[in-house]
Amino acid sequence: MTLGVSAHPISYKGSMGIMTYQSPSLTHTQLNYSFRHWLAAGVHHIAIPNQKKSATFASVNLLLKRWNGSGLQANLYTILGAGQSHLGESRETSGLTGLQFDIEDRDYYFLAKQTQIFHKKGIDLKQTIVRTGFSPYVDPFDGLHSWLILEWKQTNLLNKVTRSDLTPFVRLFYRNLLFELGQSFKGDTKVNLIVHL
Amino acid sequence: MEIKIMNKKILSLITAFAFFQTFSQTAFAKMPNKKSINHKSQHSAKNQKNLRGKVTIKVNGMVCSFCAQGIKKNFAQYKSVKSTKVNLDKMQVTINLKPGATLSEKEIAKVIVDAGFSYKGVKK
Repeated sequence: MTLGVSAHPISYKGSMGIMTYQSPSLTHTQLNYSFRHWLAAGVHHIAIPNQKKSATFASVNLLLKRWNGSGLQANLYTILGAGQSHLGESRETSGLTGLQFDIEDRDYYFLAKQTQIFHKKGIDLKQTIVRTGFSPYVDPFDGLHSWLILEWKQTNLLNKVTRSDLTPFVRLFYRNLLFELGQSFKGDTKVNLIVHL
Repeated sequence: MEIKIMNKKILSLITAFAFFQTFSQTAFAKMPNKKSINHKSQHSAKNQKNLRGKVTIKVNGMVCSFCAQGIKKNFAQYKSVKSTKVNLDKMQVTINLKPGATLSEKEIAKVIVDAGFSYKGVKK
């Protein structure tokens, strides 16, 4: 999982994922490799644009539990990472943790997750995301799929700034490529891109 | 301030839990039993039978084509497989094996499980 991109942090066995989230306040790029359908390793680079502040982590992504129902799937993931964060005044050895729950069928989708970056002096960044969406139409497997998603996000940076925003997204995916475009009600344009190789 | 933040957290957790409960009462009524959804060890295909020709497999959990790409990709690695077709509406995967080629049900189940889904058997 990432601070921006909201999709499965683990894919099928043997796949490599490239994910990037771009917004005026935060960018997050992740590469991950899925050793199993329940275990992946990732590297992350998080940056605050125009401020020369960034953080880099290596992580282990775990699928704690999956429910495969008839036409339905629900997942519980966790991410545990370590690296360096320079989001504050100084560079610190930091940890990255997260928990994500999602559930979807072919028509509806719900996701809730919390992620944080912390070190011995405190928490640099804490983010909570809740998403809900629906598919306006259902396409065959090899077609172009689209979703309309509404995201609520709350970001607390360095215990100083808490920013909440509501963003409607359009999600498109075709085969192994996923693209999202949204603009929050505060005017921030956000882009998500995921490729599975 | 801390109490307000805590209340917001509790409220969001309760909302998520309530949503999940509501969803699960309708959708999960058809859930397979606990043994068969153990994602770490699911090879319910005890049958070592080798299959030929066109094989249709029932799969649970396939709701998203982006996530199910692994099924096609992983079956393509088998020389015996000519083509793979995924049908999300019918929750089925159909593989066409090359003339004279076989693939065991165990291997088929492994591909489905490695892709992150639940293998529910071969459709007769």
